[in-house]
Amino acid sequence: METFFAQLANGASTGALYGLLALALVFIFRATDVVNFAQGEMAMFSTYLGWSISRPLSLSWIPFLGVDRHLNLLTWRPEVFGLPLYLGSENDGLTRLGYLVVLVVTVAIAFVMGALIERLLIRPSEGKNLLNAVIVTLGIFAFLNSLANFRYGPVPQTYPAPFRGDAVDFGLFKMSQHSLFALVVAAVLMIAVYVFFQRTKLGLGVRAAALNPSASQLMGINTGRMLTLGWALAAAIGCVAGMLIAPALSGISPNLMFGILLYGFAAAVLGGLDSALGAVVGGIAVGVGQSMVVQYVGSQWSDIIAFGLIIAILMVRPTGLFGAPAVKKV
Amino acid sequence: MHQTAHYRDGVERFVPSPSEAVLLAALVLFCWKLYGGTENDAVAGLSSVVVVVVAWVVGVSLRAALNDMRWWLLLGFLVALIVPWLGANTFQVGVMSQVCVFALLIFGLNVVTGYTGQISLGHGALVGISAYIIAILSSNYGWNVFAAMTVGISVTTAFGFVLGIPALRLAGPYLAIATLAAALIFPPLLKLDTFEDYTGGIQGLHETRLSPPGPIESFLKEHAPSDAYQNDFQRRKFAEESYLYYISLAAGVVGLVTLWNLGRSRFGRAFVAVRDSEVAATSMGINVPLYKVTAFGISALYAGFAGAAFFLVIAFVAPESFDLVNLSINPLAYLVIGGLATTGGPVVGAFGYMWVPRVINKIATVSGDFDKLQGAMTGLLLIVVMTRLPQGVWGGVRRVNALSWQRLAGDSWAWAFQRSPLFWAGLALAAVVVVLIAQFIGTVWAVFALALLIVAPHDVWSGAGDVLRRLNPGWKRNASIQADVT
Amino acid sequence: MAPMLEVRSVRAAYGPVVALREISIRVPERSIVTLLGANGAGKSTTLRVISGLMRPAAGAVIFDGLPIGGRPADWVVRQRIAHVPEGRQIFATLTVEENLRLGAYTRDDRAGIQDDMTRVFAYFPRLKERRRQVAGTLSGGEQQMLAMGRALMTRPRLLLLDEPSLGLAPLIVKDIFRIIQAVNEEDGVTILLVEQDARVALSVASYGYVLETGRVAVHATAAELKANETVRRSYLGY
Ligand SMILES: Nc1ncnc2c1ncn2[C@@H]1O[C@H](COP(=O)(O)OP(=O)(O)OP(=O)(O)O)[C@@H](O)[C@H]1O
Ligand SMILES: [Mg+2]
Repeated sequence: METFFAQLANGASTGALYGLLALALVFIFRATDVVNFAQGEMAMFSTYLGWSISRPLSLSWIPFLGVDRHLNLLTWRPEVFGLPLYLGSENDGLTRLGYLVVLVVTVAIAFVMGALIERLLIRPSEGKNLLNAVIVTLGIFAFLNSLANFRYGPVPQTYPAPFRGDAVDFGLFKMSQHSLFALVVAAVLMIAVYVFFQRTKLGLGVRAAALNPSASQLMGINTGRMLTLGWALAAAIGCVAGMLIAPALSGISPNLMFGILLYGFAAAVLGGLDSALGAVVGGIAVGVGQSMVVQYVGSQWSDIIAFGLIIAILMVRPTGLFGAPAVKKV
Repeated sequence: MHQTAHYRDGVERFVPSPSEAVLLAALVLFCWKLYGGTENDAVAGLSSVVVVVVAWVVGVSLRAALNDMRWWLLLGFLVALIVPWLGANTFQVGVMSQVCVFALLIFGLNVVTGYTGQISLGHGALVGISAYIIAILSSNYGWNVFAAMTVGISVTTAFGFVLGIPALRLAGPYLAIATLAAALIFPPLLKLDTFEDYTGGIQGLHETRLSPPGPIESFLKEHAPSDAYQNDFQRRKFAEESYLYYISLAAGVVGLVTLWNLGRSRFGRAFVAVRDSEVAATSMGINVPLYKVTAFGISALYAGFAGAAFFLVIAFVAPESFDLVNLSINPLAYLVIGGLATTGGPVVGAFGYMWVPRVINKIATVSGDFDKLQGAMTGLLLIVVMTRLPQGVWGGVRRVNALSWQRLAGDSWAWAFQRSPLFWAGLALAAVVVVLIAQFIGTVWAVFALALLIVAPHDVWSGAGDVLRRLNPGWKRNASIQADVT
Repeated sequence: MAPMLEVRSVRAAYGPVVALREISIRVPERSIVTLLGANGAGKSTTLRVISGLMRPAAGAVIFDGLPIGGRPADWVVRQRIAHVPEGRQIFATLTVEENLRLGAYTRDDRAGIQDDMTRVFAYFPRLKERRRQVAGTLSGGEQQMLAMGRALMTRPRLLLLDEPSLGLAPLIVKDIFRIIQAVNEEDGVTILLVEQDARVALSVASYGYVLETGRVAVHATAAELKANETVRRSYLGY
């Protein structure tokens, strides 16, 4: 029983990360109807960028500062009147404030990267055969993967995490602080995405632009900008996912995300490609299912059962568990 | 879709059209590459010229007979017949055999995705099933290869119908991912302990390759190009490789002819109707579910043949051979690049599928810089083709094919002058940036920037030009504001 | 006095298909002007050029002294020109209320939006009953009402209406035209109306243009058009 709950907790937190990636996929699907094969690599690449800026940054290019000045964001310890503002720290000197700064900066970079990708690469194939845009995402996939291999090499790099203390004991099972953190972030983001689509004007605009571009323009919506926004936000969410996945696994490496993307697909489809709630629930279901199979059936069965189940569920519910039923177009 | 009659009369008949010129240039390049390995450039150049001239003479006569683009394929076929003699070594002949193998797979994908509009990412598994069944029957049970093939292909076709069942309930991306799941289940199934006795587990199964029957072997050995294949061992390799090549070529040609006929048949038209609108197809009396499943079945038949040919040519199967990206995603990508729902597109696609990575690898090893960036170059190529040739290479060629040299010149002229000055200003700025990158950062990055320059929508450049304009208040905006459309 | 909207020698084409050869139209402020003509004459295309859904190949569109031809549609809406397109084009999977809120997308004045929403519901009480219903499940007439309500939510100065009576029962057509008149008279909205039913259109409009294969064939006041036997026979068909 002990192991059962341990596996449950374990699976749920990995699953939450799948769910985050699925959430990013859902975002792009709702905005542009495209299944984004590059989502994992976009996340991987921006995660690497986060890794870069969490290294001590050389400041030697700033004049008059001296040659050997470095800025290490992760160990930033501002204090006001002796009161620590850095929200606690880990024993290797990493501060939570430092981590937060790295996170925010990286997510901002990812946001811009997503916007640029849509504007420069996806836009020209829009409005044509949907497969074209999908192939372009495959191209982006290959491009980013190879660029990361070139720039950072194939060896995994350890990745900073804000909470690495002792596991939290819940009686029935224990859960690492990082897993708990990942679960909370996934939940918060899911709610944020839901609120964005359902409750804000901008979210309504994104939905409308996907539904009927020309009518949306007549409402004064700049449809192009909505698509760019959709990609940018998806890239940002994917980046958060990557930054949480890397420390949970063996660190960051160029090929880290493809396997996870496949589970992300599974999660997104399971929940329904157009449902934010579905993405995260689907992710957790896939994660829990996977860890149960590994525990009780054998690890070589995990993919077989996971993807077999996806097919089975789709046969019963063709648009996933939470997806809106398909509308047939004449 | 048929091209209407060509515009050619008199002398024009002997002048290549713009598209034909592109083809000839490609042919020259290809011949040159094939001969690249030999020392004597003069011989290489001369033989390229001979090949091209012969091709051209044959082409002109064929064009007189056939008014559409089929003659290009026929021309390609004639060149394909002498491929073993064009190749510099057996490796290249082997790659050409694989072009034929994967052409079969891509033909199948064309039926299901091109004509019927159902995205399948599961075809890698179908090829795998066929190849594995043949391998197991022939190596574990000592079956005759051709008997094993019959069984393998039949079973694969049956599986294809099964794979088509999700298509009855699922649409678009959901179907894509359901079939993707099927492709993902296949390799781990092969690795299961339970089946290891049959499948060989991770090691896979080896089989000796088919060797040509005596007379054929001695004929091929006798006629092997003497400069490339000098000793008896090399000549035997040549005979073996060429024999397999001709078998795969035969399979490929049969596949192509049937594909072409299928496209024009009642079936083909029904498939297209299903793709364009299921509701309309139903109201025309087309049994949509039946045709969907049939499309999967037919395409699985092609995939089954591809698997059989795969086994013949490579004679080795392992779970890793059937990985998702290589056998399910890339063939689909190259199909779209070649041109969906066309006859020639899949051929172009199969060619690209085998050769693009190799050519890029060659460039990479020559220029050092690009070595670790091969994937990036391939990715960029996908992006550039998809954005600039939305109908694929074949579609693009077909469009150009309808042009005469005058029209081409006129159109480019018009294109250039429909752009606003802002566009040109922005483009010039971007070009300067590319040159600066090449100068100060590195050629690789300049190539990437150049690709971006080609891909990015034109209004981006107008936007950049607009920024320039704002920085220079002296410039006047055009009287009628013309944002550019891609 | 310069008209509110002036379309000056506009030419437009869909790829190789030339839809407008030369169209010139003037719409005075606070008037109702109608565009008539056979199927394929280019009426919808003219509206599309004005609202920015299509770029004119030549000519100019001037709104209140401002050249708007060739500017993107979402910019044109901000100049307070609303277009109710042919076939309604409502957002089928969104609710009635969401559709109306999208109409007010360009606006930030909460109070004003609320006022307009009340006004739209006053014009179309049916929409109020169905405000939470998914728009795709509305009847054809209700969808037309929604399309008009949505356009009114942009608080337009100029309203472009493309065949508001298409496929509707005679009683509902009457209703719709009553509302069109009310919008024009009470709210002071200028209206450019495209209509198949020339009789009804000329009864509300003050001026009419008859298009034929991309050109203006005849234009005159509504009264003159109605009075002219030949025009009625050869162009208006009644
Ligand atoms: N999307 C399109 N692509 C190509 N041609 C088009 C397109 N839309 C309209 N046309 C052509 O442009 C011409 C004008 O069409 P338009 O829709 O403006 O006519 P209309 O006067 O509104 O007709 P109707 O009364 O039937 O609505 C027609 O010849 C039509 O065939
Ligand atoms: Mg019309």
